Amino acid sequence: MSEKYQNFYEEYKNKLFSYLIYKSGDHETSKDIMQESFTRHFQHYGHDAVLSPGLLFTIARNALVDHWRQQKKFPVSEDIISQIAADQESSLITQETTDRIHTTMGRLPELDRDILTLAVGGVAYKEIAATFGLSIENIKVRVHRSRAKLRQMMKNEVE
Amino acid sequence: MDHLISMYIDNELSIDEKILFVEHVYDNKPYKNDAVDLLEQEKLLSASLNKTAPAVELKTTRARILPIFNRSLGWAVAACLLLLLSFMARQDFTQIKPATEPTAVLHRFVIHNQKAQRVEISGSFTNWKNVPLVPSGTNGYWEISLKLPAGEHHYTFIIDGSKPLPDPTVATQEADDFGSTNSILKVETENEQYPFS
Repeated sequence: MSEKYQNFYEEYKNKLFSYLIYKSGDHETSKDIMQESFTRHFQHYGHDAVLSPGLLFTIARNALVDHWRQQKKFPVSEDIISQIAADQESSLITQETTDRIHTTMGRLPELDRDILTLAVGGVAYKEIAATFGLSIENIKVRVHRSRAKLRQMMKNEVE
Repeated sequence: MDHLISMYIDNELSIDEKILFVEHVYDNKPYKNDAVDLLEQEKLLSASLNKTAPAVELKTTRARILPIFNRSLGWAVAACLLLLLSFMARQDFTQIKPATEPTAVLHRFVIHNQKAQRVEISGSFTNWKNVPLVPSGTNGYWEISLKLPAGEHHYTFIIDGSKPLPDPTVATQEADDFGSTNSILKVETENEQYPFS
């Protein structure tokens, strides 16, 4: 693997893994699909792969759907929440807060949830736009709308 | 204006937008409160969503030149090979094209589809952007000639803007990561085809 792609891997591994954990809620599945996605991304696009991070996320999303098809089991949000809580590494927030955020995020449309997860993970709007075939302007609006909605829903729950 | 808060959180602001954002935060207290609220929420979101990837081994085994075949050694071997070939052909050295000559080859793509209103081609040589073909006559033939560098190229035709169609004249195909099938074309340069010309 070239140094250029190694740097790309270092930059994107946590972003992709976080996204896969959010989508699947399963550590081993996320690890396997992350490995497969980077491998296919590099093998298919070679050194030009570093120019197209959006394709990495597209490959990963497709691989995850293929995995669920093979397993004949699509996860339900309750499973994902409990798995993510079990995977919780940060001592800064409680499991209760994690559950609340995930439950509340679950009420956002799936596309908006995916986009927000990538934005929170530090993926550039340009790459998120490429991943979902949307314009950057659309991503700007969706990301902010999701954050504002989430805040409102969290507030309503407290009140 | 509101979405500037998220762009600030995500480091997506240009310099002009940063000025606008700072001025607005300074002038408008409710806006500032919104920004702080969303930043507080972001701490929770980030701690909740962002994970550290485990170490994995990537199987990135693309065909590549042996490491010992570095650039200088490569030139030396190429020069020796050219010398040897030229002796074998009993030709004057001056007739041999240098290895550094540009190696693009004009390739004509043709497809027959009478029902299509529009045919495009998308491939590794177009950076996967759609490039339109032009009708050839009135019998449903579409064509385009493109300069392709030597090597292996992957591509597909796109019918009426959405339906991918692999080249029926090319037998080598592969499934891509998006559920479609691409054709694989190997382009050889004139030097490769006719080393003694």
